[in-house]
Amino acid sequence: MKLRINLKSLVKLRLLLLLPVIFFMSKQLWLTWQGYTDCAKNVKSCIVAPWGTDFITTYGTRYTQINQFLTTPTRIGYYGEPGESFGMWANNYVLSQYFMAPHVLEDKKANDTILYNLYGSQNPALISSQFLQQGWHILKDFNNGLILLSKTN
Amino acid sequence: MFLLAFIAPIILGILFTNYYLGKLQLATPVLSVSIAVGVGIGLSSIIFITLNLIHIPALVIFIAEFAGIAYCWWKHRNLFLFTSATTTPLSSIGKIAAALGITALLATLFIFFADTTKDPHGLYDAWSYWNLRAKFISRAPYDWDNLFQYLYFFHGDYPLLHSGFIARGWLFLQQETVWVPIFTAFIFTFATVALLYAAVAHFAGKTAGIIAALCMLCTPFYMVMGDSQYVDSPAGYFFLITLVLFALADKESERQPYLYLLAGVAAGLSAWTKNEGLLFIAVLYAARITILFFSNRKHLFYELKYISLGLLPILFLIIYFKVMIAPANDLLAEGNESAASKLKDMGRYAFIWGWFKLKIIDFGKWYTNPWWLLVLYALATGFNFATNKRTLFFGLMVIAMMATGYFFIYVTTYIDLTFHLSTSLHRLFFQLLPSFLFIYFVSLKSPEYWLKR
Repeated sequence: MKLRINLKSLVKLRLLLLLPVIFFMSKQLWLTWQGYTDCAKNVKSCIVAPWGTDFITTYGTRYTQINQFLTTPTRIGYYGEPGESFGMWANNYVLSQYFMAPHVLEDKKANDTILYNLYGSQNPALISSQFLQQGWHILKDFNNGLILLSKTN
Repeated sequence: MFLLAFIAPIILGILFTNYYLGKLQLATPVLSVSIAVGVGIGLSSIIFITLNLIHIPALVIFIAEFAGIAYCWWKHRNLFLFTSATTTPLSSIGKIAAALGITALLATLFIFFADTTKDPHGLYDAWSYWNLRAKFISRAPYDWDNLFQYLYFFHGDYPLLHSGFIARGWLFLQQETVWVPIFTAFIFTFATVALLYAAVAHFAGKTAGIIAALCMLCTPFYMVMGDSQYVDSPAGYFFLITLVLFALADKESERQPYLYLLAGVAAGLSAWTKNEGLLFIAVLYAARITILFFSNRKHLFYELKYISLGLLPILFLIIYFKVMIAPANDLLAEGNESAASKLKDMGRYAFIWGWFKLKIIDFGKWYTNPWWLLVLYALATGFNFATNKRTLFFGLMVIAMMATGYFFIYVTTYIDLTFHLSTSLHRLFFQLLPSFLFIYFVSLKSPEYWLKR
């Protein structure tokens, strides 16, 4: 039996090679979609209802009062929960800066004003006694873990 | 309502792009629009920041923007029109790819908004750097340039395209809505796909264009990068525009000053987006000078003149920002002393190379090694080096030099190497992905080539 290879069969062979490419892409798309099928079945509860309930937005509601309290851009020393890990400190520090811009939060710098972000304990008793002994006083406790200390009146 | 903030920038982009591309009658509407939207956002950010720095009130800037558009409408209405494209019917394989393409587009649109609902402020880099700095600009429009020096921890030295544009949107709307950064990310994510499709279709046929766009849409991590509001997608988008414009210029038999100028603007906008854009500019000049030195020395100064004409105004703004406003770059400030000893440490080279290999194989979170798809596609269509030789050499040089540049940033970094590589290398590769796919598909024959035989 003679094996005949003509140009048309070569073309077909080439185009056949394209099918696995499209198959692999389709499969990847299908696999990615699997993570969203539940969401697609109930768009309202998945996309519309949870809007604005994410961690960052919720975290930001704590800063409404303090932003109203501080009127002009200020440089403020930042202190977090005593003994927190670096990861926790960094996350809360950056989030505080995100919601308090254009006030500049500076890590553990004793400017004229200091912000204590006691996001977990919300306990003013955890404020380092060294500040209160050195003439600092609580300027405003926002009753949500955010406490401003001041050296001046 | 938030869409109002995008009207002027997009029209500005269309006017600017059509002014340069419209003269050539070679750009299809998809190609023009996909270039116009990003360029418009970039230019709008530059205009806003420049005028803001000389303390012109935001309201005056917005009135000037719309007055400029109204003037163009009155004087140059043809700039609002697109070149009509000649449509060629799709092949059978092209129809299959198109059906998958539309499905992929609808699925990724849904995924984009589903992910956005979970994280409307984006992921860490978005809110801790880009959107945070936008808040500084919009909340203290006359003071932010004095405050950025204190943002060392928050990368106050990163360029301002994204933050400036978002701040502009918030000031325009008088409201800090998350929809401005979300829609900005949306535009860049999908404009990159549209541009890749249109550019590959222009050079290698529609089916190839659709498959190239599918490569982006089907890569799981590409959409994550987009809806996370990371700025690597816009950087990759401007890299792609630059290479596409050079490819268009190289295809023309006559000199194309407008394309070089627009390419210069796009390269400048990439540096106004991310610091990697500065490396891109250096690489662009090095690659272009090399190519022209060996192929067409007469063109060398002519091209460089027009590229620089588009690039330099943006570069001046970047230099002003870096010197007068921004804090020092952490990689430069902290890495200088130990960089020399790190350059001699061969262990670092081997370690970084290992990560490069790992991230290339494990690219984009595909369920299988995606590079086999490109090999299969090349086997199916065959290579076509002859037609766009200069574009291919130039594009490959740019991509290779960029990857080498990234490699040496890691060699000299002061940050813990594993941490630095694991948090950024995949994003750097994504910056190069659209350009790589463009060059790859342009180097191959189109499936239509075989069907015609």
